[in-house]
Order: sequence, then C-alpha cells, then structure tokens
Amino acid sequence: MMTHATHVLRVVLVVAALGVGGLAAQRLLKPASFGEVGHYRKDSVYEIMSHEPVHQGREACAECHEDIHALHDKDIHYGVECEDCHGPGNLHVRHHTEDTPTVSEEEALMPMEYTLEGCLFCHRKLAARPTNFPQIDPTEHYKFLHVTDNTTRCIECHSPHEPIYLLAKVNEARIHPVIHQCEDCHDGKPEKDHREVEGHPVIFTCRDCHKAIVEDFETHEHAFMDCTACHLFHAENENAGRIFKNGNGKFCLLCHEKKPFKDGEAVPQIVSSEHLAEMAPDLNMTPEEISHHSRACLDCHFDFIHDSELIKKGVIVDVQ
Amino acid sequence: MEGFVFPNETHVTWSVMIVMYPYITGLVAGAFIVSSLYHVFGFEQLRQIGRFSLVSAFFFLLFAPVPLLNHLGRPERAFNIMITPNFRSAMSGFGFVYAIYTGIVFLEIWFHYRADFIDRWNRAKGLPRKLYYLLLLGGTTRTPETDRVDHAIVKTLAGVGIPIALVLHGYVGFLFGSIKANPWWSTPLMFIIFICSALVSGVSVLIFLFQFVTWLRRIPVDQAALDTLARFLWGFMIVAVSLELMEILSVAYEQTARWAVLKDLINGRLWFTYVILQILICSLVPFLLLAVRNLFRLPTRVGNFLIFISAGLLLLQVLLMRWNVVIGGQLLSKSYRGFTSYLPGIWDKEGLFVAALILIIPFLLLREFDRLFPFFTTPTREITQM
Repeated sequence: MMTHATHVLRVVLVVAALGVGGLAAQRLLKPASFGEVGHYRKDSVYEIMSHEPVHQGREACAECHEDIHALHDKDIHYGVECEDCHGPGNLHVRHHTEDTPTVSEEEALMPMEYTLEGCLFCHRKLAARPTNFPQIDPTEHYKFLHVTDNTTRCIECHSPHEPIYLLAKVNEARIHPVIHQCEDCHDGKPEKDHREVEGHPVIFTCRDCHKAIVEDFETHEHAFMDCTACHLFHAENENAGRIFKNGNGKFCLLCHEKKPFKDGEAVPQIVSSEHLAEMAPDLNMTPEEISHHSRACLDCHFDFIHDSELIKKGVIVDVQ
Repeated sequence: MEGFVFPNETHVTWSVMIVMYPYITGLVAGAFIVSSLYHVFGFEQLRQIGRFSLVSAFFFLLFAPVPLLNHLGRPERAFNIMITPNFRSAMSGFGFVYAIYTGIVFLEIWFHYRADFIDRWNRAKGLPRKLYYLLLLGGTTRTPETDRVDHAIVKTLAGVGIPIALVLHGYVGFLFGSIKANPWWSTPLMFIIFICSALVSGVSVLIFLFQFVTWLRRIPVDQAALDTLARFLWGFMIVAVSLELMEILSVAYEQTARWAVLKDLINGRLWFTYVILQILICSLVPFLLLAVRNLFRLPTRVGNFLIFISAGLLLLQVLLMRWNVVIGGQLLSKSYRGFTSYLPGIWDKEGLFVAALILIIPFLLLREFDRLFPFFTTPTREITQM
C-alpha cells in the first residue's frame, strides 16, 4: 500500500512544512509586546505617548494672525478650531519659528482649499441635528436666495471667519431667557396647570412675549422671514440662550448684494461699494467713514424691518 | 436622506465591495457542493461537471477576499487577524477557515488532476516538464493503485470540504445575523439563508457557464448532467426563497417596532431592488420556468432554454439579495425613523467597474485553465474507473 502512496506522503510533508512555516512566521511576525496586557501591543501606548502633537491650538495661530483670530473669536465660529478647517499646523509653526528652518516652505503651507463638504459636514440639513443649529439643504438654500448657479461656493457669500457678522463678541451677546418653569413669569406656583388655562402657550415663541413687535413686523417687507433669521438664538442650557442681533450691514448684503450668480430681479440688490459712496453725503460721512460704518443699512432702511418708533420704546415685553 | 438620520449614518460605509464578497463566496460554496455531489454522493451524471465545478470553486475562492482587501484603507493590515488572532472574533475565524478551505480545494484539485499532470509531464519537454515535475512533487508514478488512492483522497477531501464550505459561507451570514442593532440583519436565520442562496448561485453559475460554453463551441450538451443540475437548482431555489420570505413574514406577523421600520424600508428604498427585481422578476419567474421545465415534457431545446434563462435570473437574484441585505441594512437609521441613500460610483475605487472586474477575472482564469486542461471533452486518462 505504502508504495502506492509515496506521492501522498510528499503532499503531507509539504502541508506539514507549510503549517510549521506558517506557525514560525506567526511567531516571527507577532510584535514583541503583543498580548502582555490585552489584545494589543503594549509598546504602542508608549509610542503614541511619545508622538509630538501635530495640532498647535488656536493660541499658536493667534501669535502671528491676531487680526483673523480676533475676528474669528468674535463670531459664531469661535468654537471651531483653526486647524479643523486648515489642518494641523505643526510644520507651519516650525517653519516660521526655527532660525534655520528644517521644514520647507511647501511643507509649511496650510491648506486653504474650499470644499462644499467641509461646510456641509456641520451645516447639512439633518432631522437629527438640533433645530436651532443652522443647517441647509443646498438646493433649497439656493432657491430661497435666488442663486441661479448651483455650483456657487458657500464662501462667495459667507466668511468662515465671520459667518454672521456680529457687532459684539458672540459670548457677550445678550442672554435671553427660555420660558421653562411657571415661576419664570408667575409669582410663585400658579393654582392651575397651564393646560387648564385657555390660550396658554405650551412652548413659548417670540409672539407670546413680543406681540406688538411681531404683529408690526408682519406688516413689513421682511414678514416672510423668521425672527430668528436676524435674531439668531443659540440655546446655552435649558433655561437660557443668547440672542445675536444682526445690525451689521454685511448681514443685509447676504441677500441684497448684487452677485453674478444671483437672479438680479428677485430681490432688490445693490453694489454696496457704489451705493454707500453715493449715500455717504446724506449721512454726513465720507465714503471712507461709511465703509466702516457697520449699521449703515439700518440707518436708512430700518423701516423695511420694524417700525422704528415702536423699537425706540425699548424691548417691549407684553406677556398677558 | 429622508426622516431622522443621525449624522454618522449619512455615509454608507459597506460599499458594493461588501456586496461582492458574499456573492463570490456564495459561488464558491455552491460550486464546491455541486462537485461534492459527484465525488461524495455518487451522482454519476455530474461526472463531467464535477471537475469543472471544483476548479470554478477554486478560482472564485482566490478572488473572494479581493473585494474585502480593496475595501480596506490599509489592506496589508488584514493579515494581522492571523498574526495576532483573536479567537473570540468571527472575522478572525474567517482568516483561518479561508486558509484551510483554500488548502483543501487546492489539494482536491491536485489529486484530481494528478493523472493529467503525469500525462503532461510524460509528453512535455524542457521547462514545462520541469514545472510539471515540481508540481507533482517528484511523484510521477501512476498505477491503478495510485489512482485508487487519489480517488479515495479526493472523496475524503470533498467530504471534509462540505462542512468547511458551509462554515466559510455561513460565517458571512453569521456576521450580518449577529449585528443585533440592525433590524434588517439581526436574525439567526441569516446564515442559513446565506448558505441556501449560495447553493442557488453556485448551481446557477455552473449551469450558465456549462450551457454558454457548449453553445459557443457547438458541442452537444451533457443532457443528463443538465437535467440533474436543473432539478437541484429548482429545489435549492425553492428552499432559499421560501426561507427569505418566511423570515420577512415572521417579522411582519410579529408586528413589533422592528416591522414598523422594515415595512417602510421594503416599501420605500428597497421597493424596486427587493420587491420588483429580487422577488417578482428574479425569484418568481425562474421558479415558474423551472417548474414548467421539470414538471412537463418539453422539446429539449425549449427546456434547455428555460433552464438557461432561469440560471441567469437566479444569478441576478442572489446578487440582488446580497445587495438588498448589505446595502438595505445600512440605509436604515438606528433611530428607526429615517433612511439614507446609496448609489455606487462607476469609476470609484469601490465602484461598479472594479466590482465587475473582480467578478470577471475568475471567469478569465477558468478560460485559461480550460485551455490547458479542457473541461468538456471526453478524457482519455482513465487507467481505472475513478
């Protein structure tokens, strides 16, 4: 029998050799400290600990780019780190701080490319995001703003460093209460539950406290917009948030600046530099002064939004 | 996107590559089982197709991990599952099962073709002769006794290979079935469904190729083999499709929260690929065609044509089943309240072109193997009846 099976023996030997070779290879290739404390390489912990951090933090950026940092810090993106969009800054910092640079100029360049996905990563409309977080469906957004070219980039209108052009620092914006408990409006606990009181709101909206202003607003040209389009509300906790009042003309120009990719007939549009220069004498300003005057739009066009006489009375709270 | 989708669910991570992977392993398992029908279970009429199915299984097997490696960002790390194995991980198990199974199929082919190799070695000169000698490991003796030994080993390997083939393919279903957070995947039936559909795809691809090649070469088809395969295909597809539908029926009948969302998935995102294509066109039509073919006496040409169409449709059915399972499960938000969408690119790294390429190369290799050792001619190699 065995003479007929010598070829089988050879196969068995080859298979056995492969098996032993495989085991030897596994022993050889298995990393030195693998399995000592778990199903991973223990040394990797120390290797990772010894890595030089590639992200430098915004303070490192601020040392040289103070102007952009100040602008960025003031506006709503203040919580977004510079390196979130521009990538790690280690090589850039090293190149510009070493006496004899060991990093080339090309290696030190920080990426500044725009990508739609870069913005939509946070701002794509998703039902799962908090409703008060700014988010868009690009198609709907272009339609709403009468943008005719669907390849238009976000940064044609929005500055990533100053996305909503706040006049004050974002974290100094006025704190606005959220009506959460009965005692927020009533002295002490009321006798009746709110469901027993006819017409009592369940969730308070602007109208519930600022009836006169909202009703007046609805008679003006911008009535199709939500209050929060200009008075962006950012909830900080369950009881309060911040209201960002956009009095900056740049905010008005998001819709009203004439751009080649917009339908020019849809809403009144201007070339702001020309229009401001033209209107400067009426405001007793030089063209230079008016270009730095943030509230220039509102000085003349306030009544397109609110009744100025009503607003002059101060913030009207008319809770019933 | 539709409804409530969490931000990390907008991107479908398991692409068309992960659809191809169970599809190819299914072809392997199916083709191997067909070869075993002859080698182990004594279906003599499948003699000619037995070796063809065995070699097909091997070439598909070589390409089964390719989609996975292409899917990985760092494919070289795939081998870590064998260098530092974690035996509590199903994926780690795959590395070993795959390696053992490839070895078994290779050895089975080697023993099966040893007589042919010796024949070639006898006739060859120069380098090919040396290569054949190397391939034979220097064992060039052939007697009726060695043939009997080879046959016995082939039979043993085919027998041992069956459970391993089932484990190899069942593992894929097992992986999906154990993802408990996904209502479209999480069922212990998943691995049985995968194995049954593997048998369907394996038999289909063999019938399809068998008929295609005989038609191309204008040679008479081995009618007895084709009839047997057609009967097996009908049987396997009845079991596979019934299990798939019964599984859905069971979830529907339970009327739990799981069904509330699966109903929307089936009626929405998967309506065309699952209901229309997979069930109505690619399952119901071949079922009826094969029923007509197997129950009524038809002219041979008409009957064979019905088998050919059914095999083609069932190949598509299994591919659609893989698509609907792998992609369908990812279209569903874990919130149970929304759906995302997925459309593969054509030229992407994990796109349709690469998927088609990975699927076509085993067929080309089969063609080349056929040039060296033709499958469909009467062999003159017998010393003993194997």
